[in-house]
Amino acid sequence: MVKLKSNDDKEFEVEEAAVIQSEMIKNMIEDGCATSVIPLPNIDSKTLIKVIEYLNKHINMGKAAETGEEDDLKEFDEQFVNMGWEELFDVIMAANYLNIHELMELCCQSAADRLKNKSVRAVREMLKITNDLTEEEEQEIINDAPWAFEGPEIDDTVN
Amino acid sequence: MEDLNLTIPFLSAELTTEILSRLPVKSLLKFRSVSKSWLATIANREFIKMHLSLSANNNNKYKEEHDTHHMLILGINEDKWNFKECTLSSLFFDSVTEAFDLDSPIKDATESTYIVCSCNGLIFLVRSSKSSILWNPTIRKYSYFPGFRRRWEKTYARYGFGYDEIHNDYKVVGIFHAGSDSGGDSDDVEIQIYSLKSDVWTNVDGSYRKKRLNGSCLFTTWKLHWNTNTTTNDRIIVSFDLGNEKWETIEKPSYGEGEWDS
Repeated sequence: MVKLKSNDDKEFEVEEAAVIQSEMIKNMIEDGCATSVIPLPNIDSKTLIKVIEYLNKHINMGKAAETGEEDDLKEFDEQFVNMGWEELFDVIMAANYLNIHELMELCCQSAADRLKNKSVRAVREMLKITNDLTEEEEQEIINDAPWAFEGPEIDDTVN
Repeated sequence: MEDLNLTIPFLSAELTTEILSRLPVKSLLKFRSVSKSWLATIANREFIKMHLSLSANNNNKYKEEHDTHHMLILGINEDKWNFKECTLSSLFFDSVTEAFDLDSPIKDATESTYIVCSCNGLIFLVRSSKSSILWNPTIRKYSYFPGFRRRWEKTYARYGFGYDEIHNDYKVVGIFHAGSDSGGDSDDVEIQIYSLKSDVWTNVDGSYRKKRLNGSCLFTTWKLHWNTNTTTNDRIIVSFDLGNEKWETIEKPSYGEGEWDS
């Protein structure tokens, strides 16, 4: 068992087989730096719980294909990324920090898929981005590829 | 990636880039107008390279669109050229393959046009008026290549187009044999290479290439490949390395007595 500590001082015990999906922790264990509790100053407990949930589910990923659990994992992944933007970004940051390649892929692709068809206005609102382009600059971008701003798939809803 | 000061309040520039690099081209063109920093990120050369490599090696199991190989079809409809595309996987696996129209830069079919070569989604077209066009159907943009003064008025011309990884540059190779299209091999060969980065044609030593090349060009493993003229009974494929500008030949298998390939 490996002990992880979130930045709000909560400790979690995780099986070594699960936690070594994190390249960062795997390296620490190999270098003998994981004898006691591993502090994770960038990750809060709420996010860490999500990450551990993922790690535990994906513990035997290699075996999933043999045992026919692939669909089960796929369903888990779909459910897993079903969270708000802020939460998703917290998990992305944690996955990046812990260097968990598969989790990073899953969450970044999910974010991209959610943004893909959104209108520019919807993206700004969802991600709380201030538009600092002038009206002329914006029009210039639209004129450069007007077809990119058209199409039945464009979704102006914010969710 | 650089100090772009991205404005997503939750995410660093690096992680915003990670997400944006997984978006399709249409979305990226649209999202250039989200903010100054998104525009800077999406227009960044390194980002474009990263996006291309992610899309080309699309073995991401979380992504549904796996079709990175497409077939380009040049057809004619009355007096208009008609470009269509379909995915290779559809050709193999679907009972009916649907071909989609591409909005092409060339319409007028009174002038002959041929597809020379494609590489990284870019298509190189040559017209009989000697103008050549580089076309990116994904972003629906094209540009004409600057012409250059050829040594001979009438030539047998072959072209190639590909990516030079060593110099991170796209290049066009033009091989011009003096004389008309119907002539045999000749010693009068002119070879010109155009670099997209420097926007100039340069002359290369062509004395080696006396045999005429045939058909269109294939770009693979960083080299351009052409078939040689079959009537000369020359069983070789000629390749040109865009990085070191070296010619090589590949022997073709023997087909048996009196048999030619085409």
